[in-house]
Amino acid sequence: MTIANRWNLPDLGLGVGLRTVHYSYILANWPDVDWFEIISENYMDSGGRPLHILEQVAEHYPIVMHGVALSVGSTDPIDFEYLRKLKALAARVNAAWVGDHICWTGVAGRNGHDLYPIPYNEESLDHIVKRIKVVQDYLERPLILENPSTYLTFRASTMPEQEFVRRMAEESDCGLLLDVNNVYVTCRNHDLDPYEFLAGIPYDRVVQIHLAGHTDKGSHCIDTHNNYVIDPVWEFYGYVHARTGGRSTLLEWDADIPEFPVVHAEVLKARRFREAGFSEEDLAVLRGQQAIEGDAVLAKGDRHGGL
Amino acid sequence: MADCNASSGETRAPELERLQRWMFDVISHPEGVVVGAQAADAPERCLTRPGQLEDVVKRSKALTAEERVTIYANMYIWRLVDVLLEDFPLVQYLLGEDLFYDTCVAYLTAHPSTHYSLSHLGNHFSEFLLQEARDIPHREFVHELAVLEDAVSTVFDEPQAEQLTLEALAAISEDRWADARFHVIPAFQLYQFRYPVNDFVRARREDRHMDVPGPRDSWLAIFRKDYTVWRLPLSHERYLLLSALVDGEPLGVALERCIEGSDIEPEKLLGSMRTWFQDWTGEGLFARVELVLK
Repeated sequence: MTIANRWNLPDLGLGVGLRTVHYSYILANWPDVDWFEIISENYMDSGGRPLHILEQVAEHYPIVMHGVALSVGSTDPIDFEYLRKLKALAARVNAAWVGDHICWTGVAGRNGHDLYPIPYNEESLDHIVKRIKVVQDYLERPLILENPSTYLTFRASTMPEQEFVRRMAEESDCGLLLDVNNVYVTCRNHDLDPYEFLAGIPYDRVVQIHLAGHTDKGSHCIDTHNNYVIDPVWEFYGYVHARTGGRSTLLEWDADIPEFPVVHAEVLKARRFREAGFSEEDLAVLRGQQAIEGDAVLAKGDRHGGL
Repeated sequence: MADCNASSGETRAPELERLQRWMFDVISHPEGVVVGAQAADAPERCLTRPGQLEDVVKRSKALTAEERVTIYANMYIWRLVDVLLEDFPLVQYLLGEDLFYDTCVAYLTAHPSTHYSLSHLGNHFSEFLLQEARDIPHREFVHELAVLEDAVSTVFDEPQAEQLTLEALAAISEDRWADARFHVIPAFQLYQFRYPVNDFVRARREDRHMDVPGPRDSWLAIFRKDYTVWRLPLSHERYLLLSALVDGEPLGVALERCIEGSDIEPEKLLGSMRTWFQDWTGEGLFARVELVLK
């Protein structure tokens, strides 16, 4: 059963992040990929080859814009020049939707070019909800915001991340991009139950899903996007798919990037879940494993490619 | 609670702002997060006792607060140094990994990124090398090398434009050449260097060793054609002429400036001029030409 998202934004199928190293392959082969996602900032300020390539790709495939610099959680003033360029690019490539992250990237005029966590409390919620509304009014479309991977928790937080995300989405009327790899990384780093996290997500607001690999340092995980998707993350995907009936799904691979067919083949593994789905029994088993032997489930991450 | 001005999007969330300023100060401190957390210059931002990271950040089962904050600190510096390395590979080659890294840390401390696009991160790097990095060897040469590398990055991203065709050039009648004002494409930059920096770049591209050269004037155009960035060495006279055109002078005035600055006989320069313009137009340096009313 498909549960429509709040805006009836389409399920575009299985997509891949558009990356420079794949330009030549894509232009020569026009691969049978459903859609591409771009990092907005790689094209907003460039009038050269990147934009030239993007315009050709956009003639053949749906494009989703995913940014890393909106900084919607920052306490600095909103950068309307940034929004102007973002909106112009969305119109230029006929973007299916525009997204970014639940984070801040800088403060006091300084930019760290990273996705920094916000404390999950009433002040932050009030702040980010108001800013999302301003951004959505300007862009004249819903903003699709992603849960980031995080590496620390603030004492100032007063609610779980999933509660913050749910209330943020409902109060600002924004959409969600659920990154199931980030759920894994964040929960590992903060000693949390990922199924508790997933159970708190408002799935009628989920428009898109991200898949990716990461680096497991033992004591913590880093969201490096440099590897195959591990089995527990696929299991999260199955869980989410069972609750949505299908959402536009994208694989991110941003470091040590292999040939395009390898990246494409990795995201096509999602077909198993999209075509068969997960039964409630499967999910009960997965949830039970997580609750009873959580470390064992997470340790299966080394067996990538086994699906 | 946060206040918000709906039209400007400006909000006030004082506790959140204090926390964000504190975190940014700590993770961007050149001496590490512990020193950053002890910094005495921001007590109003410090939500805790100086240096007590665990008053702000919880520890996990596996990591202390210091270790968790250090993850962000490491990502901050390495991400930005990587970008500078990508934009200035030959500066790194000349300085070596360690000195380049230390120079980048000093640069980022003095000139933290203030733009959402990483393309602007190195905007002040060449000037920093000249004015503030006093201890680096071959400082003036390294500065000019950085100017060249920065120009390549800038030209890469400039907007695409229509190009003047050879047919349009040929259509300018002899008697109107002096009134012709040539407009270069946006993806074009012109440089006069005190060192032969392009020779050094070319040697590295061809994997040839070249010692750091002594001072010798050189002139270079950097432009983009068919979405590829090119370096075009110029004679002094070609530089003078192009420089005047870039300044917006019509060709007649530009030629006078070229003749004044050159030792070559005017007749020879005038004899070469048509070939120069054919070359430059063929390379796509000009967007258009307009004929100035007399």
